[in-house]
Amino acid sequence: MEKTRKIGAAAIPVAVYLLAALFFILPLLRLFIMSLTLEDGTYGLGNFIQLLSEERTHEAIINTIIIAVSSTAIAAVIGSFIAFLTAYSNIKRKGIIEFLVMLPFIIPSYIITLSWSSFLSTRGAFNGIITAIGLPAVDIYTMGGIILVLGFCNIPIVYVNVVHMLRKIPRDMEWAARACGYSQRQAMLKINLRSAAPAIAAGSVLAFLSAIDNFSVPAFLGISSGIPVLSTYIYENAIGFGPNSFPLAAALSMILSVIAVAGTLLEGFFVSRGASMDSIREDYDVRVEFKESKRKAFEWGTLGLLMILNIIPMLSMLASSFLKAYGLDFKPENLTFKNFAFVFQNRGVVSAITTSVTLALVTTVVCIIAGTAIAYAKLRLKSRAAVILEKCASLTYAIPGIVLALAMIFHWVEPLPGFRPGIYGTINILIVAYITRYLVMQIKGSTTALLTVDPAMEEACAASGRGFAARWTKILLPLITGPILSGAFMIFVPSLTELTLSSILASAGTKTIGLTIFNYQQGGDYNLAAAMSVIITILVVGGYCIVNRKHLFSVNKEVKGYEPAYKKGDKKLREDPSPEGNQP
Amino acid sequence: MTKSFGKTQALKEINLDIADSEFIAILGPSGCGKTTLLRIVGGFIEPTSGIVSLNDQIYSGDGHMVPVEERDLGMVFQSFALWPHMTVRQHVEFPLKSPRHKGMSEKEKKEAVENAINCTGLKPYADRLPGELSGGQRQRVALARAIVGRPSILLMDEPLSALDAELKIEMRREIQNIHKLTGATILYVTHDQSEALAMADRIIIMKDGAVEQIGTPREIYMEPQTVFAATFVSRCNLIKGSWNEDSFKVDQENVMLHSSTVPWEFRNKGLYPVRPEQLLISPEGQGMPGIIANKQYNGREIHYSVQYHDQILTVYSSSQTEFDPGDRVSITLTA
Repeated sequence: MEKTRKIGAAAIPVAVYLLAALFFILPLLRLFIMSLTLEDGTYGLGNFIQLLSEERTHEAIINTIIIAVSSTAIAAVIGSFIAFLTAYSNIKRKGIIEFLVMLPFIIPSYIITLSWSSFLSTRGAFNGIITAIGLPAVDIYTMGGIILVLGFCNIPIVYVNVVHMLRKIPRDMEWAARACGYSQRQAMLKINLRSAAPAIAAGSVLAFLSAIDNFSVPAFLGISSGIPVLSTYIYENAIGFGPNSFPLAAALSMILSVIAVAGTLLEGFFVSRGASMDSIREDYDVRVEFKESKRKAFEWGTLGLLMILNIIPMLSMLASSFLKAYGLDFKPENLTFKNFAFVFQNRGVVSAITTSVTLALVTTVVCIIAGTAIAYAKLRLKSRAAVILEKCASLTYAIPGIVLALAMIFHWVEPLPGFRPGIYGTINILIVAYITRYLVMQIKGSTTALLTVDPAMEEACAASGRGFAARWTKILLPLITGPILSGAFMIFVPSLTELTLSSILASAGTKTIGLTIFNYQQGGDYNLAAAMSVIITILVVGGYCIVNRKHLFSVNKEVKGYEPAYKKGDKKLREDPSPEGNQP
Repeated sequence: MTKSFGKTQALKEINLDIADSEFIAILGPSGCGKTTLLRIVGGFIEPTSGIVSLNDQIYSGDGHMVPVEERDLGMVFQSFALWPHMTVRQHVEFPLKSPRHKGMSEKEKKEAVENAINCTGLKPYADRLPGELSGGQRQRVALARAIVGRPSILLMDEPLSALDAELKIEMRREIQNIHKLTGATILYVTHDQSEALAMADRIIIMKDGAVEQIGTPREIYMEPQTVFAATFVSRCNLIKGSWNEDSFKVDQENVMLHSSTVPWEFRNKGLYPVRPEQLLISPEGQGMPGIIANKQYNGREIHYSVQYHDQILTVYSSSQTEFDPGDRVSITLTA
């Protein structure tokens, strides 16, 4: 009995390692081998040599870097600045500002791209005004267009990283600098900005990674105008039918992955630099009091900027979804509900929605269960296997989606010699791919949720004579369900609106929402694409509001009752006097 | 001076005169407004009404608000507020690089930094980051940073509450030394009675945003003026009875006490304050009858809780005779 239990206990980690290898490591290994496979079946660096000698590869690499760096700069500057305003200043309407900043985080980037291309279309209102006053029309199908849209899409990534860090910087550290004889501006620069620097850097690296990973923006704006970047170039190679197209795509993927993994390591470095602030609670008090006129200027300036970035293009897209044909003027006689009627009746669209909803639900449920179990094993059972599994899962999240899609094809046709699960070409390959991609997010989310539960609470449950079942149903689940579900929402939405993986992995019967919109756009049916995007946007934003209603509400309340909030700060200091000072 | 936050009045009419080089402890339970008072003096928050001034210069109030950085002060925070990215030496140099010390020569600055590091015993750790220091060392860095610019006022916000018991005693001595060395006026906020009694020249007792009593540690301890001061600082027992001129008849007993110094607040409420060490326990006999409810051995003395009618009296006894819980005893008042 004792012996079989020991064998069982030893078998679990082995099984976990095998699973990690099968789902996370082997696909990437397969891709690596494919990149070294030459046309004649031998192995060598031939693919890389061939690629690097091609002008178009150089162009794609250079474009990728220019676009990623410039869009990151835009996201970093705007994101950090708005984070500073909402974290520290006395501007009002912080709730609505935060909501607007976060919009691009939940609306898929291809819908944002569509809205911008609708707003800046050659025959649109904006370019009409611009050309009327004698300026050259703005063309969004250019490098500049891609950079701008990507930059705007990535603002929330920087914002989220920076705003939490800014709020965590203890007020005392800033006041200590004031007491040392520095003005508020100097204290902000020398202490707060310096302390937030790792977060700004980490957020920027994440924005950079998201930019090189992004497929939809360069696909929507760059393919038709012949601007290659690595992600779209891989896509073109992978769907092309050249004799050597897959190995070439694999080789390109390796190049892109190297950049991505290097970036991820850099981000990890910055995060560890700022980790000393992890345990500190966020402080929502106003720290910088602007005079009334300045406050209004910043408040309305920020709102105006966010309106221009997020709302006006969306309105333009909404308008074009009611047009009978692309490019018509927005007049009563040109309006129709035909596009929406088509979207609701078309069998392809309905099946795409069914596919995507199924995919999102299955992915989310599997991720919640597996992710929470792994997080629990990692935190409470101190399982090495769980830690390694998480590392493997983060690898498939770090590499760009287009690369993962390729790896999925190579791997799942015949994952083990002689074993052909036959999932390629069915919805199952998408489910596997989504889980492979998003699982690490749930592991992280569940880890955060579990960290809020003191192990002593579980021990107290055990000490009260209750077993495993009571521990989970009476203690853990009530405490972690909320945070886990709101974290899982950030898996549900991306998998509902996913485009990159499905662009390569979907087959005729398993088209997703993203792919359908992509196909309409590529086929020139802009109004249909717009109508479908409008529906998706409403659903996703509505869901976001419901999930975050508490937060939206509390931010509003906090802003309303903002006046001098020093007293709350006093209380916070007293409630949480960390015995070790400001270092853990 | 007053301070309100919205509708709640955090400070009610505080009037204080502080002399140069005085060590003032502001003592009170949490939420009494002592930190608010300190922050107003520091200039981190503005008083709702009233004036804060140093010598003849108005710091806050009357439409003026001298910013923190232009006030001649140093501050030590409860959380130490060290900057994780700076070494000990950089912390100590930081104040001298501010515009406040533009007038100092490089040589003077260097000397001041060395002095501050030496007198806080930080020499061996000068190049370490806060993360590599122990709690006591961090506290010393915070002290060195506060005194290096020789401010005329030092503000300390519960500086020892984050340290463990033994370090607290050690740091008390250190802070006293610094006070002697620098001659700065110290405003020291604490909720620890023994800290205030041990270090301060004068103690300000606060409760619910108002000052209860101001006085030297001896005055506060021996002659508490209010019920709160009596119970909070010297842990006085309040014996119920009735006053007639300077004599006090204890309820339900045939015991008369005499005092001409008990303040009016006690007299009006029919109370007589007795410190725990003023009470004497003896085997049942003459005096107020009681039953030992609890006994705590403390080394030098034994702390008893004695059930006396519906009241629990605290008695600190250093006598050799010991009593056990349940013993019937009688309590008398010593001189």
